[in-house]
Amino acid sequence: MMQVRPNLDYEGPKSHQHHRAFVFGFEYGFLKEKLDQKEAAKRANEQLGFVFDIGPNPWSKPATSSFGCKPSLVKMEYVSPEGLRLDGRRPMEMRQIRAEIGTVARADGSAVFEMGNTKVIAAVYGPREVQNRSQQISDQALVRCEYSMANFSTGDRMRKPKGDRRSTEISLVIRQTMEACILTHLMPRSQIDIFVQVLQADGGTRSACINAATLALADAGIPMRDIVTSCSAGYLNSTPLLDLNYIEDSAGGPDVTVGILPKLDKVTLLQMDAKLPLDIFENVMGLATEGCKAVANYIREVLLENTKQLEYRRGL
Amino acid sequence: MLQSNTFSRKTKGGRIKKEVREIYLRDDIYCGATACKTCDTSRARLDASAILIFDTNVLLHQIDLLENPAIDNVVLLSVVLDEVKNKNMAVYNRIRALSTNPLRKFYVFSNQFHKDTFVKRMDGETPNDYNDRAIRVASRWYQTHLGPATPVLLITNDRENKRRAVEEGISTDTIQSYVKSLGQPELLDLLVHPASESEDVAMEQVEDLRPSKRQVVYQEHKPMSEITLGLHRGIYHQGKLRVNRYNPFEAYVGSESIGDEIIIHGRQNMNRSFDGDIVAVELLPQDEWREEKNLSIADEEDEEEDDVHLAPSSADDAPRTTNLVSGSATETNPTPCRPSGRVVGIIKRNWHSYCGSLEPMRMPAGTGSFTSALFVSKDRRIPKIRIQTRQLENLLDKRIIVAVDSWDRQSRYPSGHYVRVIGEIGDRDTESEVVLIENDINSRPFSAQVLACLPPLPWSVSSEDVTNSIRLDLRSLQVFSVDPPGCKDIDDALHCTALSNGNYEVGVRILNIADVTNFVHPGSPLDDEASQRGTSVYLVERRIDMLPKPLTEDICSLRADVERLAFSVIWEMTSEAEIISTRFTKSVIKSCAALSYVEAQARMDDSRLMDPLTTDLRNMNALAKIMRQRRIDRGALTLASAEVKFQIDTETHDPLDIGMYQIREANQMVEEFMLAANVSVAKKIYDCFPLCSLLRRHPTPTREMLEPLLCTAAAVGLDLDVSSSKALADSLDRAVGDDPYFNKLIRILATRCMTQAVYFCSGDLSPPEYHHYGLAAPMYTHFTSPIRRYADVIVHRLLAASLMIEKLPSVFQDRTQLASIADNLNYRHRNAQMASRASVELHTLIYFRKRPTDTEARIVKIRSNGFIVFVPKYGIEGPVYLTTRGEKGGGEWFVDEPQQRIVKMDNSLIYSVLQTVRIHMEVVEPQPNRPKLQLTLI
Repeated sequence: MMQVRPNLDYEGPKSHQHHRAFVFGFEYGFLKEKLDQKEAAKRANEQLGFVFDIGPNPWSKPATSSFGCKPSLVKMEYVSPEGLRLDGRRPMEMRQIRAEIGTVARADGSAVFEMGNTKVIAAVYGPREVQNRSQQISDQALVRCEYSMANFSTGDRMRKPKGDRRSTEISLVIRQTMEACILTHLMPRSQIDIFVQVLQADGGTRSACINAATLALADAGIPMRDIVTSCSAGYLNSTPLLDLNYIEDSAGGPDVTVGILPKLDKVTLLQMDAKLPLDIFENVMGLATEGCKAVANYIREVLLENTKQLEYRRGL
Repeated sequence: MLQSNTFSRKTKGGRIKKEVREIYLRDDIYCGATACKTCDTSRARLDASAILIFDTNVLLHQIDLLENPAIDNVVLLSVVLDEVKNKNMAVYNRIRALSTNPLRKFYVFSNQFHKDTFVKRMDGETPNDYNDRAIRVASRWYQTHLGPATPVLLITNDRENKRRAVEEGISTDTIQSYVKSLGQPELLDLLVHPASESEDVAMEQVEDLRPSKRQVVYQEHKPMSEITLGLHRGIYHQGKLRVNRYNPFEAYVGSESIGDEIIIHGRQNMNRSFDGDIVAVELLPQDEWREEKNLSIADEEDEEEDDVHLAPSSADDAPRTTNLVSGSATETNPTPCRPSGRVVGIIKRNWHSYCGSLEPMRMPAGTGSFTSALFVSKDRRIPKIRIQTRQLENLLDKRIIVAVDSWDRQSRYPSGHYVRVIGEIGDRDTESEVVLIENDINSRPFSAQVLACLPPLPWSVSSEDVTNSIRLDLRSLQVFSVDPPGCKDIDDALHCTALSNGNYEVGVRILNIADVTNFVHPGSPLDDEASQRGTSVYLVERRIDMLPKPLTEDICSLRADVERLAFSVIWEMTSEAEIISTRFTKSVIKSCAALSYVEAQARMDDSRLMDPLTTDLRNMNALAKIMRQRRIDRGALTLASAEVKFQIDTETHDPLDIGMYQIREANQMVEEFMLAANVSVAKKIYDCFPLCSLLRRHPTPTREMLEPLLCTAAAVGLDLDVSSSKALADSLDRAVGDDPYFNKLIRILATRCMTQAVYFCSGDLSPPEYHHYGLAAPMYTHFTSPIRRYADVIVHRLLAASLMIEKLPSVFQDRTQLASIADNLNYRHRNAQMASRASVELHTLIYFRKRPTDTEARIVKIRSNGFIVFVPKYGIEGPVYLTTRGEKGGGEWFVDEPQQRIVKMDNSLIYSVLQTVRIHMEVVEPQPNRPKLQLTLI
């Protein structure tokens, strides 16, 4: 029997793209750093009114460059002229998804969710008594979330520091997203714990965690308005791409993560750490929303199948 | 949709890391044969004849052959394409261009993602074996998929691969025997012979020619690992090799690691590198740093010599000379020489194809057999190239294109192969074509996709355009254009109305620029083509347009008496030419007159004319004069260049006369307003988009660059202050000699020391570097000629976006892309200038062929065996020898360096710099088919 021991792990930071000044061939001078880059960038952003920028988010990693494009000298082909991505998908295709409910017997609800090579396990405890009395809320339930990555989830097996910026941010994002769909007012003075751990990381861990958490909450029988599903989309080689894998994610392009309530048709999560022109952003977000709906259909099937199993076991 | 995983190991920073990547195998990848029953044939291109599949090495080496239409019906496997891409990006791009060309039948088959042709890597299999196996699997799939009706031929020169393919029942062939089987002998010339085979053949030929030369000529290149290590440790220096245009035995490597240029003397030290290659250089010991011997005109090592050239117009065109301050050989030289080096390895080749002709040689006895010949490039920086051909008799008097394949240690010259014939040597059309090819100028007609972007013809301003709220209706104003005679692409028109408001007499000046961006939409094929061409090219007898003719000459051209769309800059100015307000707007105008400079000047000069148009012209001229004076006071340089103008026979297109291009007040008036408009626009777009504006800067010349000018000036007793552009402008004004041409000559020499202005993206540099030295403007851009320059099109878009009229295209958010556009524009701009100059040179030669002339010339440079003269009347420059060739250094003449003069031993004759001499100009043909202009002293 497998027990999930949540520990705050750290996925090695993606190779950080520092801003590099472009060298104009030798004739035109040596590499020059622009001193008042930041100031000018700020001014430009004020002028470029159409650039979409999702508010000041203290958690977000810094944008890779002034326009979210990696200043690389060789243009990498993420979509071949034949319209195939590096792993053989077409731009609008998702990776294979798979879900399993009830993987952690001790937890009140649990699930494993896979998107291609990304594999995430979620366990839900509660609603139960609030452990720390001072955090108790009198009219609604307290939702807590802990995100972590297993040491073996990435290629290099390393011990990772606890409670770092990235995992704290993702924990917060998942908590806020789930809180939006749980009917917390039905469970005052109680606590719901969501633990998610990444077993294998290959891009899109944030979305996979949310999907796994939804399934685990449903498995735990916690009342919800609707299921939340999430999917990401990016924009590389002037093409919107659905469900980025690790290679595409580390290309440094924009990465839009969307979470929706499919029945209510409402958005509960929208994250992007780069800048995109508004019309392109709408396309990319639309694509991610379609992805969310596809995930929702699959999750609903899985839940239905699970319910049928339960019915059968109870002999109904 | 099946799923399968591949495992690969990858080292990263020395560590071994396991990577797992998913591969989604598909059943919706089609074979691409039009005859196929089972596949979707909507994108199929292959017909029913035999299908060819190439392996990577064949593709990499035989790209010239593949571009020949005789080779068709080809399947390109994605595994092959990926390998080609890793090895040679240029070849990859050419193959991609073939696969998108609708006239060719090249189909890309993504074999790695097809469910039946995917192969899993086996343990211990090298990438090469894996690729070969994948190619074989794909070939076999094609065979079984298409059935026996369509033969599939795998073309590979790899023996092992071929053997295995035969075992597996795949029909294979080598490229050589396949081409032979086609029965077209001219294709055989295009074939590149693999190094191992061709070496024996080539060496035999070498032995025939020079029996004792079979030896190692060049040092071995160091292996890449050693170079990387050496660069890391600072023993080697990396940089781009640039060969001296005027002396192919001298090259420069700009090295960031030592912050200076490393000079490389001689082919031995250049060690098989070509101009433009990225090389690794090792510094020679300091005592071997040679002093440059550029005091002699002719080269010691080669039989080539300086030709008569068009006078250079800027430092970029001029031969590189340094160390003019150094004393004669007997004196000890206190100035340190520049570092010299030796190429130890080539990091990246810059080989492409070159234009030229074969070196004249005797016809061999047998015809149709392989003979090797030496190819001499038109570009002197390129060494001779050995090629093998079966059609020697056809090629001898032709201009041909040759591509380089290899250069091994044993041969003095690189070996290459013939690509195609341009035409006969000496024919004017052929030589013009050569000029275009040499400068990488696309003169092909516009493609159908590009022409499809044009608005329907005949076009006229529609009522929607007039009523559109963003357009100002200026049709009632009196707008006129002033251009050179016969100009058809009129992209600017002027306007000037006197206003009276309050107590001031205020003038409104309007400048109208053709609204090209209304027709050229970002991202359209038309836009892509224009951005590639970058600029229109003006040759003596023809013009190569950036935009298709209907746009250039009609829709965008602000012709007289028709309504046209324009982008206007409107200033309100006082009579003192102070700008009170500036306004930018799109507009509709109707030009009332398309004047030439001569006509405009005549109108202004004719005091009897008092019509409104002439009054406007005079007002504008008065303002322009004030603006010009103010600009000069700020420190703008008035530079001069020796531009010439041809009169061309309308029938034969042969030049009838050459004369200096005359600059009138009207030219200066138009120029002044254009400069002012460009400056205003530059400020506006920079204010709105400080990170992504396209500006133009002119770097301040370094003292070293101005050295030749100072030297000459010192010799004639002139003191030039070059501390700032203002100081230089003032001292140039003071430089008045005893004859009227002296001042202009000094200005021409000064112009030559400057580099050219360049386009750049404002985010890449800091504001102090935006400075335009020549115009003494803190910021400058190009806005006024959108019909013939792509930079102006970009600036138009920026300006429109800053006025909130249009959205900024997405290109501007990608700084890398913007920078590469700016780079391309600089490259195209420079090539266009080089092509114009080459065209003028060509026509000068044609002109003097029938007209030997005596004329006056000025000495501009002193050499040990003669001097270089500049012929003001024809704008050309060339060497005059005092000693006959062969007896150089005879000691009859000696050079007086500080005085810049050459003195005969017995002091009977002295020639000093800037002196006037009379010369005789004549075209001679020392070798058949290679005419050149010769200057001799009378």
